[in-house]
Amino acid sequence: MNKINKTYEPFLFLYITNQCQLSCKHCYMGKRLHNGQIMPAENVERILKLMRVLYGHYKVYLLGGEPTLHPELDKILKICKRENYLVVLTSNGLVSESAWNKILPGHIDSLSFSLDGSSREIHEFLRGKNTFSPLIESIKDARGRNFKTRIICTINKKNVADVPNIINLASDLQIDLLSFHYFTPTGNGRYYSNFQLSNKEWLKFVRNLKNYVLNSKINNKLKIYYPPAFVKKDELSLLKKSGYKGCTARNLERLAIFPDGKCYICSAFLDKDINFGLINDKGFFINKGKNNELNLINKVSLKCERCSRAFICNGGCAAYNHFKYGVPTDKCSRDLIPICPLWTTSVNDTTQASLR
Amino acid sequence: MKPIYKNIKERFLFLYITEACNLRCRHCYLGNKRLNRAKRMSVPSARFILDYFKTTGGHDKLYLIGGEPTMHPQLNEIINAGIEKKYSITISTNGLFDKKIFKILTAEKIASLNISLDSWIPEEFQKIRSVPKKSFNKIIDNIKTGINNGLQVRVMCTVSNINSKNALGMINFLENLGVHTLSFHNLGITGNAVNFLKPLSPLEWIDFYNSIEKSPPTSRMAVYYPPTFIKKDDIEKYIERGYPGCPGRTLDRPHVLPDGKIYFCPLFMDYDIYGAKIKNGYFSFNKEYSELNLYYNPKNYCITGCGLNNLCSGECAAFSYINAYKNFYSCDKNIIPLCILWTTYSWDKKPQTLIHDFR
Repeated sequence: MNKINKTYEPFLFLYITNQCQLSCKHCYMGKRLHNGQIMPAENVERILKLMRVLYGHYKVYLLGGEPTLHPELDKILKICKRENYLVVLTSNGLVSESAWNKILPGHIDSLSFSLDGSSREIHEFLRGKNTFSPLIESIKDARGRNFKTRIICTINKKNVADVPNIINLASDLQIDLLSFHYFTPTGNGRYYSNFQLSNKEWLKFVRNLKNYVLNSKINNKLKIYYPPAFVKKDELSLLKKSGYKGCTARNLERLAIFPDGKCYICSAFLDKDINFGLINDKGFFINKGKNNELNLINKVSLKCERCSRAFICNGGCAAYNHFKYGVPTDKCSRDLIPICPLWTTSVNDTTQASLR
Repeated sequence: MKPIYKNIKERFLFLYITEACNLRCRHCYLGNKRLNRAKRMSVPSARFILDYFKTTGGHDKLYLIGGEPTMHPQLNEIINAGIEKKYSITISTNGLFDKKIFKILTAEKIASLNISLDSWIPEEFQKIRSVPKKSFNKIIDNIKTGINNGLQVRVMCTVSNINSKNALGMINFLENLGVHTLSFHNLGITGNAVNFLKPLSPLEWIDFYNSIEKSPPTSRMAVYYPPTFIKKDDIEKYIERGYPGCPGRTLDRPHVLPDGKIYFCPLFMDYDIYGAKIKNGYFSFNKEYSELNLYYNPKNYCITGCGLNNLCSGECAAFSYINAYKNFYSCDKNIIPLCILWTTYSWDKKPQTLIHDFR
């Protein structure tokens, strides 16, 4: 019997502001950026309470835009603390002195910075001018203030060769966690679809990453995570053992909520108006639109229904199917299997505890 | 204190393969209207649904129910399809089937034969099920044959005002027959029950299951009950035992009817607010106001804080929505609602994984 004792990892992604100083080439926010919307602190409070009741949520990622631009950031952090949530705050590193004053010590479990290259040249090619030095300074600043720190790095053709240097930099900066992401052409990224790594290139990246981490002297403290995104068929059972539970969207367990109240269940769809629901002061409303993402993620190709491994990969990734990138299930070779590109696992953290 | 999301979600698929039934029980939640309509699920539809939930949800346990599933002329083909898809199969029947059905329901194919029996006293049984007296003996005979054939036989007993006084007697009676599991259900005020029966009040129900816990039997028969209503001090105990919260919110337990409508909570079956539909090989969520909207809108005091640290995961959406419950129960912060569908093992703290196996 192919038994799955299913438990959940309910994370909440709150986009507290759409404002940002930057417009990175790979930003999945797309048109939303710079529309000026922010989420009032009282909405944050209500959402945290609601999700705690409904699903037992305990961990919130504060995102944007650039969340440190939120005028009530300190108030929001106090609310998160009061509501007993773990908080990960993700910043582009352009943190003003007044913003630092709102990043209250003892209120954040991990301060996360987006870094896309080990050098000014690569990082600023993707993120814009004068972004590299302030970021490195902010990371050092965060370390100096004793925050646990993370780096998020979205891998694409422009920075994949730089990965060893990025790891070394993270190690030198005494970072706790380095998390690689898989670039997909959504949001601004749609204009740079040629930056996306092919399936084979991604597998090569994963292979090289593992080799490098195992054979180089990096700081013991640094834990490195990556999304497998595609796996070979003989690795599928290993994947289950390391905790892969299929598409998280199908169980509605990880909501991403924007300042306008739109709720998404899969971040691959964030730049489209196909959100699952809407939350406002009157309650929660399922989106009646034709293409609600809930329908999309529950579409399964006929090919999967006849596949004996479908219960492990859960019918691949609906976003790949919808957007025709990655490995759409109708093109699945049953040798290289698509899995949720948002699910990450660790190269050197056997407990996998850092992300949980 | 274990957080609720750490508890195992039950990936159970409930397939109502036919609405046809030879009985019109007073507590049937499908309701006579559906039973009279007697719609049947086709084998290709059943195959598609089995495939679909195996793939998208990793569902591993299949309940074949009805109506009376043994009245489906292609029962054997549906069972084989379930086996092919590696489901563990439980069939829920009223037990009034012809002996020849045992040729299909074999220990090799069926993980569990689940028979409804609401009393060990023939006269009481007759009252609930509106059947001739000899039917009782036929069911007992089928229970015995099932056990002799090596099947795991379980009995489901729905407790209401009509049979509660003698319900505990079921334990001894069934133990002596060699039944593997007795599962008490708490009558929902839906379907036929709205017109014909009453559930025990929340306090009476608490007394009822407390008396089960107080009288462990000597043999190894497992006894389950749904706490449904608990005193606030017991909440941590039931979370420790594995209470996973509302299965509707995580779409864990789809109930698929022969017309393709899917309810993620069967308590809503009297209302056309089904969550999704499977038709012509296509799955889609109900775009109109549906049960899904209800799962996300608990009472305001559940959100703003009731002093119980949100442990109950919010009031039951069905209790709040269904008219018949309006005068029956609302949370007073002392008697807390748990999902009426969630049952727990009596007497002993078994590992969650084992409980999952048993059900």
